[in-house]
Parts: sequence; structure tokens; C-alpha cells
Amino acid sequence: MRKAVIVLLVFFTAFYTFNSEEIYKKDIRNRLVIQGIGIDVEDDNKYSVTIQAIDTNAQSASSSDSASQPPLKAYKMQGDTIYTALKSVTETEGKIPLYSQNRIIILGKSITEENMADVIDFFVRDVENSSSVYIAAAEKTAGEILEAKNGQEYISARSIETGISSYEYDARIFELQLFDLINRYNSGTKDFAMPLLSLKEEKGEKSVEISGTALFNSTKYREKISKDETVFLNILYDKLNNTALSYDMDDNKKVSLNIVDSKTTRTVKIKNGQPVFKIKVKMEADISEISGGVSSAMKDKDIEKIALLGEKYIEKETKNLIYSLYEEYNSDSVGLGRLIYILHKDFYRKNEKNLDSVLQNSIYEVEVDLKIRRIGHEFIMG
Amino acid sequence: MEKTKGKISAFQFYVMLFLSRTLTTVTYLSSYTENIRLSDMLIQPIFRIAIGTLIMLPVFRLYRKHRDKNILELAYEKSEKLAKVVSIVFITYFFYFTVVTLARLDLFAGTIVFPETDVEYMLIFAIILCCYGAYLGLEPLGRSSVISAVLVIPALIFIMLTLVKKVDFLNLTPIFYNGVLPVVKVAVDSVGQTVEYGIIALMLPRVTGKWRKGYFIWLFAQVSLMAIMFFFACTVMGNFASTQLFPFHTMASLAEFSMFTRLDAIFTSVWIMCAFIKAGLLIFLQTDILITYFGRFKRVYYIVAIGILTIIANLFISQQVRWFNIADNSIIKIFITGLSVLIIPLFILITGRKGREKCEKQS
Repeated sequence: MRKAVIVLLVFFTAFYTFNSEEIYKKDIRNRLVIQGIGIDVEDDNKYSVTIQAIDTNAQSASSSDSASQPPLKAYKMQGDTIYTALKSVTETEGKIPLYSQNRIIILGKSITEENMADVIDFFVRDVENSSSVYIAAAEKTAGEILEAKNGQEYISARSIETGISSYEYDARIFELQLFDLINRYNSGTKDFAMPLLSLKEEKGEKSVEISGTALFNSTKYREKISKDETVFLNILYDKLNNTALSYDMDDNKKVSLNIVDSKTTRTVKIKNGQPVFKIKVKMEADISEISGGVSSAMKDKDIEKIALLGEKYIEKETKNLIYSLYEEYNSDSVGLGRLIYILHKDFYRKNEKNLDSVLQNSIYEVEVDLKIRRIGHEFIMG
Repeated sequence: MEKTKGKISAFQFYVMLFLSRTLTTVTYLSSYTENIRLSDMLIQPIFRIAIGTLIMLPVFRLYRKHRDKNILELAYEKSEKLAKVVSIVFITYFFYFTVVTLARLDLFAGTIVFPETDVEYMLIFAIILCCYGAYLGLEPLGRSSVISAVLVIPALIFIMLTLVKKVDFLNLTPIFYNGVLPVVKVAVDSVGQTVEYGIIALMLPRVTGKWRKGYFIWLFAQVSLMAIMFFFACTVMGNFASTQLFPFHTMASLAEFSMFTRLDAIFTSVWIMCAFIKAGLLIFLQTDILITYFGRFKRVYYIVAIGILTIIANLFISQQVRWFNIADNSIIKIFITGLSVLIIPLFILITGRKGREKCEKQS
């Protein structure tokens, strides 16, 4: 029996290794290694899909400098669905697309303003697509971003992904991954936020920038907020890990803090038929800079004052953002409505259909506790 | 009737069952959440403990009186025909779960691991390996289980630890949003998926050591694992989990540790290891019953016959996902589990008591 099992093991291994069809699919030269996918809608209602892929032919022919960026190539296809458009690249290139290395999905303005829900299914259904791939919106078209060249070289999808993934060190950037988009899409309000990309050109040099955060209401793009406002969006999301924050002091000086830790807790109570949200933010920060020349030795009360002013500043800006979100943009992209659903299910049931107006009329209390952890090299006086 | 041979320690036995049930937990299909919200999935295991304990009461009562005889032997004492009927029920029960377990492995391999490849050959090879495991016998399967558990449990803990950072409590849902009944239904469904109750009902006389204490530790451990995995699936993925065919695999694909980003590969190996143990044990039990009650040939012939039937059934199911849905039916599972684990032991218990009362009256 043991010998028979060993013989079969050898047979099946050999079969899988030398099966010609398998070898063809496994050979990387026959695959189009996709790095970024951009989706737009054309005037004739057809999808225009732009992909940026590693040019494997050029790579094998090029020099052995493995440290440099792999040669990239952009392709633009059209189709009635995303899948048919993507599939058509095989006709022109003779290669099978490989989605597992895809780094980013960019949705053009024509998609985000109209039928975003229609394009999501492909990315959820196709098993090669990673659930953790980043999603971003384009200020104009997704195609122009993936086709943009700086000199002879394409601006790589990888560099855009790196930019978005830097949210961990810079809370002015918002990040959204595919699985979280679907999660928010399937939950009540269908409101969410995602990074907004734009193509800049200065002195003939092109670059892709994260210009802010796009806010969505019922899967449709509503408004853009700036990168500075994004910090407070990340605070509300409890996604802030590390960022720089600067604000004015009384004496025309400006203080810059490096936020090293932040924790936001959100609770809601129903008082007199009205939700009262309590948002508590606990932060730790290092003083990185105080403008206006080298200051004399710091005193405890100076540190206390910096912390107090910081708390006030964060409170004010967070409240401003909440006002903008609910009053102006009508977007519950931070998910406070969901808090009502979790904690007060009966109230939610009653108001499920007019949740937008409930959130507009809610009370929002923001409380910030900022602790200064380090002040740098400077001497402290008691 | 040939007397069954081979004993196993309570530790090895329950470790084997733990891995076997872990396979069902990790290959969980999201379609079962249809009626209940995510957080209810965390509560559901508590109901499972209660239902799992209740349905096993007749089995425990039976073995408290007859520690050295299994259900089939007790049925044989009543009548040979009854023993054969009960044997057929148990063979069908175990064969059905072998086929469904491997069909799920086939669906997983064909959909997630090798989406563009024909996985039939891999399936045939997996069945051959499981048959080989069954041929080796109970003790080697028990020993392999302990070794596998040493790899599987830390692997699962590792995957979940790497997900701690991604936990978002805002993904939870209110408890009992649609009432308690849907949660109970899902718990019953979950019990129906647990073929291990049937294995316990048949194998307890072969287990040495503290079998009753072992049962509760096993029950608590596997239900806890289920609750913990649901907790991470709910809080990390939220509603995305319910869109996925294999949500726990997707969850593992989101886990990352330092430069290692494809922890789903660990998850896949956990799955294959558990599938080998589970299907091997189920084929072993079918062979054992066949030899005991219908035995004329060598053990190996029965194993080959079961292997061939399993291959045919699985090749048929793997043709269309519709066949898989029909085969993986909750009602069939609940019915066959209820019949084998609850009704048959209860019948033997009641008829045994009546027979005794009749004897006492006559004397």
C-alpha cells in the first residue's frame, strides 16, 4: 500500500509539473502582471479600462539592474463590462492578465459621480483580486493617471500605492481598501471616503498627487476635503497613528506637534429623542517646532498652555469637520450612524429611513485630552 | 459479527475530533448567515454548547451502562436486522460527510487556490491519501492528529494575532436584531454540520481515559475557536465577510506580519491537514462498520471500494456548483445527525428499558 501511494504521488506531481497548459499559465512571460487598474465610463456608456502592467518582454530583454523600476506599459480597453474590457487585452497583447499583483484600483470621476456600485462586483468576485488592494478616486479620469509619463517612464501604480500606504505616518492621507469599501457599501448608509488623486504638471514634469479625500453619500461622490481636514477625518475614524499638526499660539508663534499616538472613542446616547454623540480623543504628542526664533527654557506652564491650545484647536477643527460632513455634504462617511444602529437598535429601526436628517439634528460633543510626551532637546524649568 | 479492535486515548481522540471540527469551522460558508446579523454569530456558539450537550445525553446515558459496547453492538443484542439497519445509517452518515468534506475542499481548491486549473486530479489524489490514512488505522491517525494539532493551533493563533490591529468594533451589529429564533436555527444548523457527534456516539467504547470530561473540554474548545474566529471575521471584515464564499480564508488573506503578507497560505495548509484527518477517520469508520457487520473480504478491499465511490461522487458534484449546493444541504445534515446521534441511541435506550421491565415482570 505504501509503495502504491508513493508511486501515485510521483505520478500526480509529474502530471502537474509537465502538463503543457499549466506550464503556459505559470510562465510569467505569458502573463500580464497588472499593477494598477483605472476605470472610467465613455460617452457611449461603455467602460474604459486602463491598466498599467509590467512589460515582461522588456524586462527580460533589459539590463540586469534589478533595483530599478520594472518596465511598465499602459493599455486602454473598452467593453460593456469591466471583465470583457480586461479580457480584450489578451487579443492585443497575447498574454493572460494576472490580477494578484494589482496594487491599486482608481475610479474616474465618471464612475464616482454616477454608477460606482456597478463596477465593484468584478473586484469582489474575481478570486485573483486581493481584498486588501487600495481604492482611490481620480479628480478627472483614472486613465490619465495610469497613462501619465514623467519623461520616458510611466508614473508607477506602485508609487501611488506607496503614497497611500504612508497614511500610517501622515494622517493627512486617507486610505481605503477594497474589503472596507464593500463593508461600508453593504452597511446601511453606503457612505464612505477614499483618497482623491490628481495629475499635476509643473515645468513639463508630471506627478500624481493625493490632493485630499473624496466623500461619498449613497455611493456617489459628494465633496472633496483638503489634506489638512483629512487629519480630523482620521481622528473621527480612529485611524490616526502618526502625523504633524500645527496651530497658532497667542503670541503669533506657531507650534508644530508630532502626534505619536491617538485613540478615539465614540459613544451615543439618546436624550429627548435626539442622539447625543460623545467623541473622546486621547492623544500623545512631541513638540517638534515652535516658530519665532529659539525660545528660552520651557516651563511647565508653557507645556500646559501648548497642550491646552492644541486640545482647543483639535476640538474646533473636529467639530467643523462634523458640521461639514453632516450639514453640508450629507455624508456619514465616518460611520456615526452605525453607532446608533449598534447601541440603540429600536431608535435606529424607527429612524432608519431618515437617518440623514437625524444625523444632521444630532448633538456632537468633542473632548480632547492631549498629553505632551517629549519636547526635544530643550531644557525644562520647573 | 466480528468484534471491533483498537483503542485510543481520550486525549488523542478528542484532539482528532478537534481538528476534524476545525475543518468545518474554517471552511464555513457565509450563506448560513443569511438570516442573522454578524454579532449574532458570536452568540450562536453558546446555543451550540447547549444543543450539543442535550443531543448527546442519550449517548452518555447508554455508555454509562454499557461502557464496553458501542451502539451497533447494543443494537445487535436486540436483533441482527436492527444492527444492520443502524450500520447502514452510520455508513451513509459517514460516507455523506466524507463526500461533502472533500467536495468543499474541491470547491475551495478550484475557486481560490487554483482558479484556472482542473483540480479533479488533485481531488483524486487527496482521496487516495485519505484512504491511505484510513488503511493505517486508528492509532496512526490519532498520532498524526496530535502532531497536526501542534502545527494547526499555533498557526490559527498567529493569524488571529496579526489581525488584532485591524479590529474595528464599529463593524459589530446589535445582538438579536431579528430576534432569538434565527440564532437558534443557525446553532441547530451548526450542530447538524458536526459529524463528530456521530463519531463520538460510535467510538466512545474505544476511548480510554476520561472520555466524559474530554467531551466537555472538546466541546468548549471547538466552540471557543468558532467564537474567536467569528469575532475576528466580524470586526475585521464587517459586512464584507458575508460577500465571501470562504470568509475565514479571506480573513487570513488580510492578515500580514512584517514582510509576510500571504498568511492565507498557512490557512490553506491548515485546511488540507484537517481534511486529511477528517476524511481519513470517516473512511476508517465506514470500513470498520463494513468489516464488522458485512465482513467477508480483506480490509484493503473495503477501503478501495469506499475510495472509488467517494471519487465518483465527488467528480459528479464538482461538475457544477449547483450539485455542491444540493449535496451540502443543511436539512439533510440535521436529519442524518439527529437520526444517528439522537433517535437511534434514544430508541436503544427506551427499548432496552422496556425489555428489562418486561423481564422483571415475567420473573
